[in-house]
Amino acid sequence: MSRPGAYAETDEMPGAGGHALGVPGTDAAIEAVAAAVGLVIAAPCLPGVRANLAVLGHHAAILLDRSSGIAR
Amino acid sequence: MRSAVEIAAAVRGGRTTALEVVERCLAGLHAEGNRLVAVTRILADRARDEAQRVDAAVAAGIDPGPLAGVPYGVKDLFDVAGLATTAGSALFDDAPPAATDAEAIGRVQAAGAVLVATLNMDEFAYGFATINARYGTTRNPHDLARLAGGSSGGSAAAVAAGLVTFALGSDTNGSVRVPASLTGIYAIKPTHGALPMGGVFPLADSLDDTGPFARSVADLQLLWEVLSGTTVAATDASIRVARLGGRFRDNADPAQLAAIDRVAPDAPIVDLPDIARARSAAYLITAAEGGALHRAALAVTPMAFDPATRDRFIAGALLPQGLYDAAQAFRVSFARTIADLLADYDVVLAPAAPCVAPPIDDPWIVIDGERSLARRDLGIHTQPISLTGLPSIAVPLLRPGQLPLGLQLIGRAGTESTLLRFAAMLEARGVIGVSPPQGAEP
Repeated sequence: MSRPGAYAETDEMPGAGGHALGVPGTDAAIEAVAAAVGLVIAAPCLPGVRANLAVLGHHAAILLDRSSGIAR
Repeated sequence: MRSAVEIAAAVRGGRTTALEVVERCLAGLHAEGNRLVAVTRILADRARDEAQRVDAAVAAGIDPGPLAGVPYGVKDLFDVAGLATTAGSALFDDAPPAATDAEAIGRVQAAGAVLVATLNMDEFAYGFATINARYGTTRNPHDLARLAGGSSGGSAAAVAAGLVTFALGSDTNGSVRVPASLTGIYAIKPTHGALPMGGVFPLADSLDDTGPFARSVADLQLLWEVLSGTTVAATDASIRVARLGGRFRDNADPAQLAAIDRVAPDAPIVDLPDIARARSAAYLITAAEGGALHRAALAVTPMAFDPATRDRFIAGALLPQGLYDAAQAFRVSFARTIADLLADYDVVLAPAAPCVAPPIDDPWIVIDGERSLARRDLGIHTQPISLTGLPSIAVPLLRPGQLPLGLQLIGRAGTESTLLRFAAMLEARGVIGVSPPQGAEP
């Protein structure tokens, strides 16, 4: 698949490395994982990132069958 | 608001010219495009050039093809030669122009179609609402105060309003089926990989598909044939139908359930296992692949992103590799299970979007009794199907004067022809069909 515009083809794989299954939850954990993949999260972005990670954590729990809750 | 079939027949037969068709279309785009916030760029020069080539072919006795002179638009993530592919983002305002057209554009152009516009979308196709910080929120032609759905919302709105005769969108988790449902038109999410993705900016490589929008089954079938290079054969073979139960029936408008039950009152209701897990797997795969794709740009120019998509992509980039692997592993087993369960049926009926279009100023929906964000959750019924790779056609219930609602017709891999035959039967019975927005030209 071609990548038009500003992005070149990339071999970058999804995932932040390692084989752990946990989604970072605390601000310290979020910033540590971000730093490990070369990201610095600006202060205005942190609440939004935290909220989205919570949603992803919810989906992770459902995928891993750790919750019978509602998929959001 | 003529169909693609009618326009092509008139152009091929010399009863009108492609240039006349295109000039009328361009006038409509200039007059109405801004009202709907559906159009990002009008390609007048290119359209006139293409139309004149079609007319020259007709004059020379050469058949320009089954889409001769039919004006169309593309979601703004298809490469258009000479233009930056914006993918709905300010990040790509100054991107270098594409060298060639996307492969799907090449196929419809070779059949005589004329590209007139690029169309609005959620930034990088990440959302079900077409709420876009750079280009604005696309409005539903049936009620300008409501969402058109997304991420191919500009494409759906433009087709529903008759600004273009058809459009090309993309569907990762429901991005043609959801806006088709909310705007009352038809769309195909093909068997995964069946239609060309060359020159289409990705959201999540492993789930993305090209999908066309149209206003009739006949037009949709024509587009399917042109894009796939196949022919839908006429046959009288009986079609075995089932209805999806469980979560699909628990989160549906009563009118959707009534239509499904009227169409197939004796069909078995099938409960698919692990539907919530399937949706979660699709959600996580999309986040992880999208986050990986944009990681480098997020490191350098995060504030150039639409804030709503930026924070989602950053979160996706932070997912652990092991979770992504688990989601992909589940996907394999789920797809096999569903294929086995549906092996005895030709068409499975389900809601497309779970409700009518939400208001723009209150963009929430109710899922399982709780309020959920529309831009995130309108794909609750399409996302699990995407994970299977099975084809699904979104069809509009015929309900003039009311807000649109759509169904999915889901089939086994490679059976788009059967789905189209079934859709044609429903259209002939008056169950489904396009109701023009009030005020639109009939």
